[in-house]
Amino acid sequence: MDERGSTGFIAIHNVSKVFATADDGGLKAIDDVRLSIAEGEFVCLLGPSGCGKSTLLNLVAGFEEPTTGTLSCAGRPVVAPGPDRGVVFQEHTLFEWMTVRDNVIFGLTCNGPMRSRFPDAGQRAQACIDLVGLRGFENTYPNFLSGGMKQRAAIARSLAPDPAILLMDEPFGALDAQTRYIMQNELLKIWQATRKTILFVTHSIEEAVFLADRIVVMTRRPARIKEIVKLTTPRPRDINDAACSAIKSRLYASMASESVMS
Amino acid sequence: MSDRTPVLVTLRENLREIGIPRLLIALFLVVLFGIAIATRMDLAGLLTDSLLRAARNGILVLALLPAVQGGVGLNFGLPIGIICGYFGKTLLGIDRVVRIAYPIPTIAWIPLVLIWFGPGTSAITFMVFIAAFWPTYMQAFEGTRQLSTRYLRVARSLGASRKAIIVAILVPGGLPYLLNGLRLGYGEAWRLLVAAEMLLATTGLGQHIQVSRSMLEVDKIIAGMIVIGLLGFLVERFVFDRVELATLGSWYRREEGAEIG
Repeated sequence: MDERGSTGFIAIHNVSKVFATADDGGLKAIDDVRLSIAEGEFVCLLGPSGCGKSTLLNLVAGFEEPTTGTLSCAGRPVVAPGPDRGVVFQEHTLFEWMTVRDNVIFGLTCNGPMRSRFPDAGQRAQACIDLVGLRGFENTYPNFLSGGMKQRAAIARSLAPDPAILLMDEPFGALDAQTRYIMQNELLKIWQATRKTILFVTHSIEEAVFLADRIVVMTRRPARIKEIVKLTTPRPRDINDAACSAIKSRLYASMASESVMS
Repeated sequence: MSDRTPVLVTLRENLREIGIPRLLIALFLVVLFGIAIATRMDLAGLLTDSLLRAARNGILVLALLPAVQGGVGLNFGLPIGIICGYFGKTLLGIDRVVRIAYPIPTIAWIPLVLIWFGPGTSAITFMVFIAAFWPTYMQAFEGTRQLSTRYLRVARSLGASRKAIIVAILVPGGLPYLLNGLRLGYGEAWRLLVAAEMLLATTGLGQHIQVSRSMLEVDKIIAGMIVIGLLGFLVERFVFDRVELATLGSWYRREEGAEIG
């Protein structure tokens, strides 16, 4: 496969991003990133906090524009956010004034094309709610849910319009260890059931090793691709077995050399 | 012994239900009545007479009319605030104009209003509009801007239409701010109204008080003030509190420990 080329389901082609700063120097967040992700692949972006990996995800989502370079998803250039790319954030961004069901239905009824694509929005929403294991909580308001359940609802909402791509920005970063482990397993189940292409941002080596087909290790700012680690261990993985441990050690060494420079 | 405890418990529960502040207010009133009786003041003349006379003169009805006028300011402030908050500060420079005009005390508009409209209902309506507009606009603007980063990204990534964003995200999402803006705007309008009526109107509660002053009818002045306070309080209690309870009350939990799962 063309790992660093410009073809691929998600194609990131020589992308750089510079943010304007007060002193006019500009802050370079991403420097010449080339990455190609295959359809149905689960890719983790791994890097130290504040390295620019979330910025890369925002570029793919269409929330921000690259300073140079191009991005495309499913052959179409990325120009704006769209329902073909579902997004799940770390902080819960559920609409607090809507029940779980209304949150999930929102994406199915919020524009004309989507309404004609899903004439029975209620049924579609229920299927997504069932998929994330929230049956029975359809009429609950987000503030009455635990952290893990909020993220389940957020995942259901992003899945509802049936996007080909799921972009996840440290979705389990705010959860306790046990809930995080449960949610990682759930996500793998959902991924295997729906075959979405997932781009998952994390700073946790264990999480990346547990989830990914490929781990893209980013340098600290400006973010460049340091190395790409391919994992072939079948799932469900034991992240403490020999193969995973070897990858973990390698990633720790790789990450450590990035932290020293800060 | 054994049958006394439930009584005490019920009493304490009732107390908690009623609330200490309300009890204090009630006690204060009782003390006032006590003093009035002790000093042989004419209680009936003080209360029922003044209030009844005020009501009979249709003052209450007249007072409600400007309250509706005050709604004009609220009705403008809310949407303009939401739109400016959504589309950014640059929109037509509206926000800049608002922020420059905001520090001008509403009372300072009176000379201009007198020249433009002359004393009367139009003048009052304009004054109340201005008073209600600022706080409503400010809160609507701020509430919308707070939302823009958090929820708008999600809505845009779901492909939400502009209409869906405004109806389903901006208005309900900004509701804590919007309601607060309405409360503040209403309060401002209500206070300004009375002052403006004293200076500009030929009718209304403020005018009633002013006329009573020239007649040295202190009881009427006090009755007018009580009516003003009561009306303001009733709207707070039965309009804003109700709306808030019906919306925010079900979205946010009020006590800890109600967490599910």
